Amino acid sequence: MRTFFFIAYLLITSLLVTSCGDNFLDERPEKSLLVPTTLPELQALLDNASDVMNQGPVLNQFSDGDFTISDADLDIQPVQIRNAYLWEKQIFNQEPSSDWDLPYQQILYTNIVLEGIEKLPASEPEKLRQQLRGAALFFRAMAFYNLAQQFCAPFEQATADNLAGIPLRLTSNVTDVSVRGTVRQTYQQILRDLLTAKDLLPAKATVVTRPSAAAAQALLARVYLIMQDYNNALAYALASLENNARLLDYNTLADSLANPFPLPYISSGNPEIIFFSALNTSLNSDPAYYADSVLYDSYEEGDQRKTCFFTDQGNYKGSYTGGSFCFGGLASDELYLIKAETLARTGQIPQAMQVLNQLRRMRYAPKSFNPLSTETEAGALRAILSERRKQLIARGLRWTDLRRLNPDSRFAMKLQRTYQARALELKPGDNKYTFPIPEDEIAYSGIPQNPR
Amino acid sequence: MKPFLFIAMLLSSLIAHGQHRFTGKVVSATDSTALPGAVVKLKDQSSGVTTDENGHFALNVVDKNQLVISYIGFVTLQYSVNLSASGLIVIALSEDANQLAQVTVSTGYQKIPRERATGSFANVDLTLISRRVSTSVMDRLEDTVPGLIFNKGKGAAQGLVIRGQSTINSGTSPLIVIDNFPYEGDPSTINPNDVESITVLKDAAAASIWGSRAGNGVIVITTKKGSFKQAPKITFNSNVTTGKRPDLYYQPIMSSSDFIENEKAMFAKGRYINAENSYNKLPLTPVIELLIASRDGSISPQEADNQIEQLKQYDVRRDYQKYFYQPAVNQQYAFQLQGGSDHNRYFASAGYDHNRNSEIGNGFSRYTLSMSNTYSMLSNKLDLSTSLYYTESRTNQNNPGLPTYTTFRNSRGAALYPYARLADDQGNPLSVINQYRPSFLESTSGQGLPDWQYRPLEELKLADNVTRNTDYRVNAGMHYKVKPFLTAELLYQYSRNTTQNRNLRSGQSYYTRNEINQLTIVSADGSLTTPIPAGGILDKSDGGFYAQNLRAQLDFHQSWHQKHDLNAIIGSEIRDFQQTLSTSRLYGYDDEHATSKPVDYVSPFTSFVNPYLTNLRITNKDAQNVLTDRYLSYYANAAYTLSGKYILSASGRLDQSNLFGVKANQRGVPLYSAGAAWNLHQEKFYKISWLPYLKLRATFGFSGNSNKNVSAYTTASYSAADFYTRLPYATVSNPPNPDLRWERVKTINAGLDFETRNRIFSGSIEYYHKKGIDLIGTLPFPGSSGIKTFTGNYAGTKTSGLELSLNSKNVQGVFQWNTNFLLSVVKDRVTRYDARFSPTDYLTAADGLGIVPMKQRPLFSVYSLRWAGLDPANGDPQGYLNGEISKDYIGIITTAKPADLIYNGPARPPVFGALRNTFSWKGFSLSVSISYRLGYYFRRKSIDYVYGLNYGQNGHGDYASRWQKPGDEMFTTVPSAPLSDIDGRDSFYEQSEVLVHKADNIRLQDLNLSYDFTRSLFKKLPVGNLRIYLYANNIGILWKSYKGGLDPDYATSNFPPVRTVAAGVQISF
Repeated sequence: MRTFFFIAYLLITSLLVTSCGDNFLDERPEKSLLVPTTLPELQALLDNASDVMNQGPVLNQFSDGDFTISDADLDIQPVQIRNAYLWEKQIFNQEPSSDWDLPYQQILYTNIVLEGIEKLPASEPEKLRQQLRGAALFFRAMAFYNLAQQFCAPFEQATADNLAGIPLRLTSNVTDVSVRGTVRQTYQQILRDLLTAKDLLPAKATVVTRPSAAAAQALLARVYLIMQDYNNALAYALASLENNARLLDYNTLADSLANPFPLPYISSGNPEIIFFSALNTSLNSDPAYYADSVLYDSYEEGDQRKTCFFTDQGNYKGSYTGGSFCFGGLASDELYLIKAETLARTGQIPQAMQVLNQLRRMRYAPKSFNPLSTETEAGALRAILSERRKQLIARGLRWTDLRRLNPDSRFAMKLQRTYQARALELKPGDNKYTFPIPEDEIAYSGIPQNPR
Repeated sequence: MKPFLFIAMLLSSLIAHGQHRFTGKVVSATDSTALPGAVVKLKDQSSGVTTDENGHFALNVVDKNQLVISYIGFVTLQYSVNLSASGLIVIALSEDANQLAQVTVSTGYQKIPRERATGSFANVDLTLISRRVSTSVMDRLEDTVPGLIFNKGKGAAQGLVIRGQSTINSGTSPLIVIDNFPYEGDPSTINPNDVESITVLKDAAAASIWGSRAGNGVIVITTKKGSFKQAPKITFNSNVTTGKRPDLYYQPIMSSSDFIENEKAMFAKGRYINAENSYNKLPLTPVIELLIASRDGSISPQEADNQIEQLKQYDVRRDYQKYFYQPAVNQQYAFQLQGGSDHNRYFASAGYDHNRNSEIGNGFSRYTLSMSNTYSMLSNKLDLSTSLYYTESRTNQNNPGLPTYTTFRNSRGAALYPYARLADDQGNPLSVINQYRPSFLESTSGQGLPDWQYRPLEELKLADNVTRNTDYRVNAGMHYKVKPFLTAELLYQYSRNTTQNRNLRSGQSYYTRNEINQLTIVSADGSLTTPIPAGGILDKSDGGFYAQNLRAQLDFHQSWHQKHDLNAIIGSEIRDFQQTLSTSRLYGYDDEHATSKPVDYVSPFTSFVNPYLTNLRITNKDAQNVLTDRYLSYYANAAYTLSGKYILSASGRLDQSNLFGVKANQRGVPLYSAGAAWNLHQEKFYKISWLPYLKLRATFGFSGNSNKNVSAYTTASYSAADFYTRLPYATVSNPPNPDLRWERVKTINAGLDFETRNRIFSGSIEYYHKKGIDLIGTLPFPGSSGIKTFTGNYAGTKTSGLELSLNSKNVQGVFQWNTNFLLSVVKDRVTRYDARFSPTDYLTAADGLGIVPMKQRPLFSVYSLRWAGLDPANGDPQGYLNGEISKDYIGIITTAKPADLIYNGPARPPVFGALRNTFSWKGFSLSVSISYRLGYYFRRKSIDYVYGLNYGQNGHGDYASRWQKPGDEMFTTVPSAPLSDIDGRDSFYEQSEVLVHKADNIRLQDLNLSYDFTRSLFKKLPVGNLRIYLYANNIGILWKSYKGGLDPDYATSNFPPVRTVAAGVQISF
C-alpha cells in the first residue's frame, strides 16, 4: 500500500516536470502584446495613422508670416508657439518638441518594419512584402524630409556639403549614436528611399493614409523642386499626375460650412488627395489667428478660395483634412503648381501658364475667371508663385518655399511683425530660418546645435 | 589485549561510578501523544538529547539527578531520576496555557515551530485578528506587525508595504497566500471570520521559498480547519457598525460671496467674451448670465444685483450633505460549525455582510460559504483534506459622485460653483449647467431634440451601476507518511473568479441624452436623425480568472543520536493562471426586453454643437484582453539543528515563467537564502535565570520580483481601430533589450528574541538591510533614437530598518494589564535611477502623484522651492533666483536643478508603530490601540488664481486670508489676487516650502470593549459562551505636528475617514 502511494507520487511529479515542457512556458502573457513578426502585424505598425505615422511638424506655420495674432491672444498661446511666432532665438524652452521627436519615432517604426520584413517566413507573398517595404521607405523619407525643413539649413548647391544635415537613423537599434551628416547627404537619403519606394508601391492606395507610387512621385517632385533640379521635378510631377490628375472644383463647395472640404478618408472624399497626413495644430479653427492682411487681400473678387478657406472674419477654416487640423500630405493641386513652375523654369512659358490656368479655373467663379498670360519667365514665375502662396496656405509648405526662394533676389521677402510696440523682422537668409535643435536632444546625444 | 581491556572496563566503571543508562518517553499530558524533538538534559549541563519520533530518549544519569525536559508549547518540567523505578518511564508534560504567541508559523509550504525558525516571521493570531471589526481581512493587519504599514497619502505612495518598497516600476503588493497557494483576486472576498491566523514573511529566509513573487514580502493566511477530538462547536457572530456623514467642510473653499465678487471682477475685465462666442457653446454660471443680461438690457442692473446678492446666500455643500450622503451602516453576520473526532476534523461557515456606504446609492454585500474536511486514515499515516470556499459579492455604485461641469475656459470635470442649488425649497430637483449654455439648450428643444438639461438629483435616482463578483476555490490535498521520517504530499487547487460590471445609463439620464443629442443631424426640412438610437446605453465588462496549482512535495524529518535534527522539504509545482477581460457597449438598450439597436461605428459625424468638430465617431467600447501567467518551479528547504541549540537553514527555488520574449535560458532565475540561529538559553554557560529564552538569528538571501510589461524583444500593443481609418494598428511599447533580467532583492536580517521568566516581558529586535538589484527603470534617450525613454534593468534601491516588538504583562491576577509595543524604522533610498525629470516633476509629483525618483533620496519625497516671503508692496510671492530674491517665477521653476530644490523629507513615515494596552477584569476586557507615524511630510493645497479660480474652478478657502494691503505679509503667506494673469506665480506658490508641513501624528486608532458571559459566572447560561462587544475605530488624533485643521494623512482628500462605532454579539454553543 505504502509503496503504491509512493510510486503514484513519483509518477505524478514526473508528469509535472515533463508533460508540459517547453510549450507550457511559450504562452504569451498578454494576448494583445506581441512581437511583430507576421506581415499583418508589421502592416499594423505602419497603419498607426492618427497617433504616429501620418503627422508632420507644426511650428514652422507660426513663423512663416502667413498668419497673425493679437498680442493679447499671443500671450496665452503655448510658449513654443509663441517663440516660433516671434522668431525668438530660443524656441523650445528646455522642453521636448514633438516636431523633432515624432518624425524620429516614425523612423524607428519604419526601421523595425524594414528589419522585420527581412525575417518574414518565405510563405509570405513576395508582392506584399515589397509593397510593405516600399511603404516603410516612403514613410521614412517623409519623416527625414519633414525634419530637414525645420532643423537643417535650406538646400543650396553651394553650401549643401558644408552645412550639417539631420541625423539619419537607418536601424532600429536605439543605442546607436546619432551623427549629423551634411545637408546633401540628408537629401540624398530622402531621394534614395523614395526612388526605391516608387517602384515597389502600387499605383494607387486603397486607403488614403497608406503610401502609393503616386505619393512617392509627388514627394519626389517636391524634393527635386527644393533641390532646384527642375527637370526631375517636372518628370515626377507628370508621373504622379498620370495617376491622379483630378482637381476639385471649388465652385461646387458649400462655403458657408464650417469646413467646406469633404473628409478625405471616406470613399467620396476629396479627389485631390494623394496621401493624407495631418499637422496637429488647430490653426484653422482658432478664432485668434487671422490670415496676414496682404495675403488675404491678394485673393481676388470671385476667387472661391476666399470664402472656402476663410471665415468672414478672416480666420482660416479650409483645411483639406475636412476637420480642425491642418493638412500636411500630398495633393494634386500642389503637383499642378510644381508642373507649372518647372515648365516656366525650363523655358516652356506658354505651357506653364496653361497649367496654371487649369488650376485657376477650378478655383474661380466662372464669370470672374480670366486666364492669365505672360511672355517672360519672371512674369510667369511671379504669377505661379503668387498662386502657390494663395493655394497652399496652412499646409506647412510656405516655410519651405521661403527658404528656397529667398536666395533669388527676385522673390526674396523680408517678414515683419510687431509685438508690444517692438518691430520684429526675419530677413532672407537669416539663421533663424533653421530652427534650433531641442535642448533635450543635445543633452542626451551631444550632436552639434544649429547656429542662431 | 584482553587484560588491557579488562582493566579499561574496570577503570571506566570506576570513573562512571553509579552512572546508568536512563530511558524514558516524553508525552503530552493532555492526550498522551508522543512529543518528538523534546529536549531532555541534566540540569546544569550544557548538552542534552532530543526525543525521537516516538518520544523516546536515553541518557546517562546518576540516581537523583535532576532532568530538565522542555518542549515548545508545554511547561518545562523538572524530573528527579529514580533509578529504582522499573518499566518504561513516561514523563508527561502539560500544555502551556499562558502562551501569547502561537507555536508554529506557516510559510505556505510547511509549518515551522518558532524555535527552529531562523527567518523573520510575524504571527498574527486569532485573538488579534478578531480584535477589529471590519469587512475586509486585510484591515485587521493594521498596527499589528512591525515593518508592515498601510501608507496613506497620494497615488503611488499609497498602499500596503512591508519593510519599505524595494522596487520602483514593478508590482509593489506583497504576495497573498491562502491555504498554501497564491491568491490573485481581491482580498475583500475573504471572510475575516474564517481566518485562523496570518503569518507575515519578511526576510529572505522566510520568503525566498516563494521565489520570484516574494520581493515585496508574503502574507500567508490560514483558514480555520476545526480540530481533532473536539465536540461540535457552533459559533455565531454578528455586529453592526455605524459612522456619520463625512465632513464636507473639511477642505476649506472660497465662500460663495468671495467667488461671486471675483466673477464680477473678471466680467468687468472682459474675460468671458471668448466663451460667449465660443463654437463649443461653453456654459456660463448664473452670475455671469445675470451680468450679461444686465449688460444687454434684458433685465435692469438693479434686478441683476438683487438676484446676485441672493445667490451669495447659497452653499452647495449643504445640498451635497443632504442629498448625496447618509450615515454609513455595515452589518456582519457569521456562522461557524467546527469539530472533529479521532480521525476527522471539519469546519463549515457561512457569512453575510451588508454595507451601506456614506455615499447614497453605494453599498456592498457579500455571501461566503466554506467547508473544510480533513480525514486521517491508515492509522494516521494518510491525511486527506478537501475544502471549498465560495464567495459572492455585489457592489453598488449608484452614486455618480458629486456633480461636475465644464468651465468657461473648457476645464472639464470641475466641481460645481459654490452657490449652486440642486433642489428648490420644496425639494424638487433643479437643473444646473454642465457642458453647454442654457440658452443654447433651450433653443434646441424648439428644434425637437429631447430635453438636454442636467439635474443632478435626478441622476442620483437614475444611476444603475452594479458589479457582481463570484469567487470560489477548491482545494484537495493528500499527505502520506511513507516512512516515519518521510512524508509525501500532493496539493491541488482550482480557483475561479468572475467579475461582471453592468452600468446602465437609462434613456432619461443626462449622459445618454447628451450622447444622443451631440450627434443629432438636422436635415434641411427640420427632421432629425440620431446616429445614436433612443434608449439606454449599457456598458458591460466581463472579467475573470481561473488558476490551477499542482504541487508535489516530500517532507523529511529525522534526528540522530538525539543530537542532530534535520528537517527538509523538496518539491516542484506548476501554476497556470489565465485572466480575461472583455468590455462592450450596447446602444438603444431597452432594459425591459433586453434588446439593443445597432450603431454605425465607422462613419464620422459632425457635432451638433460645434460644426467644426467633424471627425466624431460613436464610442466603441468593445475590447478584449487575455493575460496568461505560467510558472514551473522547483524548490527545496532544509534546517539542521544541533543539540537544540544551533540551527542552520537554507532554501532555494528556481522559477521558470512565460515571461514574454525573453530567451529561454533567461526565463528562470534561481533565488536562495541561508540562515543561522543560536538558542543561547540552551547553552551550558548561559546563567541568566531571569531571561530563560534568548535567541539570536541572522539570515541572508535573494527573492525576486517579476514585471510582465517588459521583454527583451520589440513589443507592440495591438488596437482595434485607428481614428482615421478604422483599421487595426499597433503601437511599439518597447524596442528590443536583449540584456533584460528579472529584478532581485537581497536581504540581510539579524534578530534577537527574548523572554523573561514567566514571559512577563518578551519581544524581539531586528535589523535588516535590503538592496534592490537590477530594478526596472528607465533611461532617458535622445529623441533621435525614436524613443524618449528606454526601459531596462537600470535602477537600484537600498532600504535599511529596525523593528522592535515588546510585550509585557504588567499586572496579573483578577485584574490583568498587558501592553504590546511596536516600533518600525524604515529608511529607504534610491541608489540608481538614470532618467532625469524636470524640476516641476519633482516638485509636483515626487510625493506619490507619479514615480519620480531622485538619486540618494527616498522613493517618495517632498521637495519644494525656497520662499522669500510676500512682496510688501503688492503681495506677490517671492523666491530666490541665483541667490537673489526674485519674482521671475518661470525662471525659478525652469532653471532649478535637483540640487537647488529643498528636500523637505520623505512622503512616507520612516518611523511608525503602535502601542496597545489590554485590560481585563472578571468578564470585561478593554483593548486600546494608539498608532504613531513620525518623520514625514505633506504638502497642502492652496489658492490657484490663474488656472484655477480664473478658469472657473472653485477657489481654495485660503483666499480669505490672502494679502490685501501692505503690512499683511507679516501674518499671512497667502499671495494677493494678481492684477493680471502672471504665468508661474501660482505654480511657484504651490511648489514653495511654505505649503509643506510635517505630517507627524499620534492617533487613538481604535478601542475594543467586551464582556464575556461564561457558565462559570452565570450558571443558567443556555450557551457555552456569550460575548458582547463594542468597537470604535478612527477615534481621533491625539497629537499632530501640523497645527492647522487638516489631518496630515488625508491632507488632499475631500474628507478624512469618519469615526465608526460597532456593537456586536458572539455566541458559541
